[in-house]
Amino acid sequence: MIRLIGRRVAAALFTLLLVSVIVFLISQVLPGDIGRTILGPYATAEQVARLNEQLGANDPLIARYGNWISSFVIGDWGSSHALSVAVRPLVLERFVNSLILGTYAFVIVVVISILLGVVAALGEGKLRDRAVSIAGFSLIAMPEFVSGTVLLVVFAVRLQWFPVVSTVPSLSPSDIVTQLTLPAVPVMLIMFGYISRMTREGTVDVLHTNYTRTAFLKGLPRRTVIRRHVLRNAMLPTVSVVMLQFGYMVGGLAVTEILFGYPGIGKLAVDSAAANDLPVLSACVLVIAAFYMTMNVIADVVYAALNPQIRASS
Amino acid sequence: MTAGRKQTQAPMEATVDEQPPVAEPSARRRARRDLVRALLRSKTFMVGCAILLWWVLDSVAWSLFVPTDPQALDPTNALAAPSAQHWLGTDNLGRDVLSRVLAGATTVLGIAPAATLLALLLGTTIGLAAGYYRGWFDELITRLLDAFLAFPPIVVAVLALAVVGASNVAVILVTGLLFVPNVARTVRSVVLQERSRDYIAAARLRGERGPYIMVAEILPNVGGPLMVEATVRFGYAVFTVATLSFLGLGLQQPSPDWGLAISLGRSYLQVAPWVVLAPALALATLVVSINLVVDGLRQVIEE
Repeated sequence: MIRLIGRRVAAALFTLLLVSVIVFLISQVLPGDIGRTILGPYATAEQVARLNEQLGANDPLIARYGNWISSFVIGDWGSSHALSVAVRPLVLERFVNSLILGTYAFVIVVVISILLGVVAALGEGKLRDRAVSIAGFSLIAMPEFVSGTVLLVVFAVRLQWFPVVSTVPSLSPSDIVTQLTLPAVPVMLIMFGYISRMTREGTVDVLHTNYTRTAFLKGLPRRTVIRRHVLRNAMLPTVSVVMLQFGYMVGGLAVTEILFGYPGIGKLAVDSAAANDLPVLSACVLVIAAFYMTMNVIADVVYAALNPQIRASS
Repeated sequence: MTAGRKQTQAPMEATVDEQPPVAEPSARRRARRDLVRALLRSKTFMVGCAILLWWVLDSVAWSLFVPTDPQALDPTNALAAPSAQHWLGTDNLGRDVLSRVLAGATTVLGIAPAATLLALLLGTTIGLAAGYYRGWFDELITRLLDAFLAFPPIVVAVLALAVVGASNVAVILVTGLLFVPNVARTVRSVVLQERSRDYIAAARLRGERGPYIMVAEILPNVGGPLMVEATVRFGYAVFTVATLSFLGLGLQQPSPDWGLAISLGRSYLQVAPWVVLAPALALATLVVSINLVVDGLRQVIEE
């Protein structure tokens, strides 16, 4: 088990290293003249040259990457060009905001999707199965800004049940529901497709196994078979998919955050892209990727811990 | 997933002779005809196709359908509610919303297929090579693909477009490259199943080279999964391209593009929701139609 965790962490760190190289290449090398990018078209050539010198833009690539990544690792993330504040507290605060919104959406959608996925699987081939699968298929690729816009028109503008602009909620449950529900739904619709399909697939596979048939044939009540044999095994693949989705979702909140004006990390990334604020933007991307990789490792470890076959073999 | 592949394994006992056995192409043709028949019977597939075809037709020939010029300004009649004259109302500049929705299909249906094609070409090449050669090359490619998949697509696209600047070509390149890892992964996993089969060994014994085996022997058998993957990616490409223009990183005014129209119309949400709802619903039907096609294809191919 410990060896398995070690191996997964090592692989994730290696992937993260590649991620950082990609971000470095896109944000530091691709723009060409970094000083010119920061100062804009009206700066004089001397100013640009001086800034390039300061930033070490004339050093060899490997040295630049080394500098860039090591200052990032020790926590010196630089300061924002556009906002003139330190990058780290800004990005981390926004990340926490996204985590709050993400967790809210996630908890609700996981419960609903797993429930409906199981319902669909138990009625395999019936109307309710088709209904769940068509709903999932249609929603999975619905851009958040399309569903979000419709929600905004109906529930915030017409019915005025929810605010048009969402803020970070206080701890009171009613505030959480009013502030977070509307921005959460567009993401939930997309995740519903994934999770309900995975759950359905997993449950159907288990329903077709010999041990399930045996359990039915030896006369166990349907409820018991489903609870003890089917669900317990079917949830196994679902758990890891669900955790991966969570890692992915927090970075994927950008559009809904923008639509509802919620101050999360995705909105920060897009805003800083518009303002050409590369230190903030690259920090956002790295944080999002690091979080995804962390969830990736956790998903693998949890899967292994729950799966007796893997647990025994390692 | 295995249907349609069985028939194509015939050249197993292929003689040293370069020509494939005579029975093989006709078997493949029959498999293809069966596939088309099954697709025609699938209601999901046909409904999806019908809606998708409408939007494709509209994207090419919208000028035949629009009631008025989508760019014609009429400031005195701005934000007018739907009426007999303007079925879907007018926007903030008095432009006819219905005409703009009809004209707006062109951009997304031009850019998304181009991006999908790019992803398919590169992804298939990389997936074939990684799955066929295995070893350190495969290991490196897989790690790289994993690294790319760790980013949410919109965030990477935003990063890349912020750096290279927003333009149609940039959106095609960025969206296309974004989906290369997904395609490569799918192709690689099919190649891994195929490479141990006898027909590959037979081709090797005949002295065929790697690239020939990949393209002429393996690629035809990757067809089914690749077709599903292509449609899925097309759906996501529509999603991504529309989102990028919504974020202001793709097309610019006065293009009638749907994402852009929704983004601009948001300021008038309170007084004129039709400006936003019309393109949003148009995009929704396009996305749903692609997903119906995917669902139909998947069911037929997996049978």
